Amino acid sequence: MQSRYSEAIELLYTANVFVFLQNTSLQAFHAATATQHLNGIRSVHMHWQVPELTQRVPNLSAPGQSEACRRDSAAIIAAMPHLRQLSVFLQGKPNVYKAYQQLLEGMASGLAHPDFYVARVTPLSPYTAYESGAPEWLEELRSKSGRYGALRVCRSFFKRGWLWHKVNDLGQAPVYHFRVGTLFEPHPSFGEEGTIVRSYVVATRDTP
Amino acid sequence: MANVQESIETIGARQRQRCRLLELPAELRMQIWEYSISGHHVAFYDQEGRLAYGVMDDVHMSTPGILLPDSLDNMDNDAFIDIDKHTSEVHRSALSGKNTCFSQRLLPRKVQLTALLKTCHLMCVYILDNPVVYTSTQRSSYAI
Repeated sequence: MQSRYSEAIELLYTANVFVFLQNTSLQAFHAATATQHLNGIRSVHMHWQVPELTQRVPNLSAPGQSEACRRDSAAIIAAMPHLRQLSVFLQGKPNVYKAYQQLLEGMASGLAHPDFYVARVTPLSPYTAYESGAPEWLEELRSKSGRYGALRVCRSFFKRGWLWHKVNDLGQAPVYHFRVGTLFEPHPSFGEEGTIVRSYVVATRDTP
Repeated sequence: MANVQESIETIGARQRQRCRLLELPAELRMQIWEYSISGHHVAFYDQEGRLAYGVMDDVHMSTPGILLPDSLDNMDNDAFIDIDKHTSEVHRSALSGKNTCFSQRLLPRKVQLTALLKTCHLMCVYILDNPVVYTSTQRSSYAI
């Protein structure tokens, strides 16, 4: 019986794409899942958002925005021994690029034998003043050579999702949090950047 | 623990006579598992303080936009216009307080990927007795 259960539960972790829609989702999943199952995961999509985009005073103390959350999440990804596909979608104003940088670098630090690792970042808006260094960083990411180790950083073509003022977390009660992104997977015809397999708009609530 | 083991063995003996799934050849069982619990995009998110999960597909959530079987270089950004419209409608609904249906529509619908496993009572007992999975079920609202 144990072997029959094992053959099925193994498949559950090895043959599905695990999508984490909120910054804290991966940490919660990690806390609730046995290491042996985590080690079986082959494919992950992370949606990372800086939600204080429309707030005059950014609330960087929110659980999902702390440095500890970024470091923990990156470490969890980096420690997955059989992870072969990682797709990251960064939704939000790239003004806080150092947070994104920390996340991507942390993830890339442990990637051993990737088949497909991509990250999508938001583009610059002509209407926003950016923190010094952000435009250069984004340009680097968008360039063909934009890589963090094995992590390939690609352009995001999800144009309308870039309009963060339309999809930003509202900061009101009840609080809805919109995750707007695209999910990429490898495809033999489309090289390293892969192809879109799903666009999503997801409303979650309460905890950013 | 001894009692649990005993009950598993008792149930096991009984179910071996009844559960046809367990009598199938391994290759066939694997095909059934593959059809039922693999190949999904399983989305995790917070729902009222608990970690929830749902399957992101055309059946289980309303996903706007279209699939684009094309490379990034050839994509036409205007193809995403519908997503923008959809998102704006969602945003307006939220601001006006008419947010009941959109929230239901946009959340991945909860499904039990382990439902098939639980159709067999013996397997279900084993799952609950397995400390690894038991830990998972205790800490969160899902049990995979």
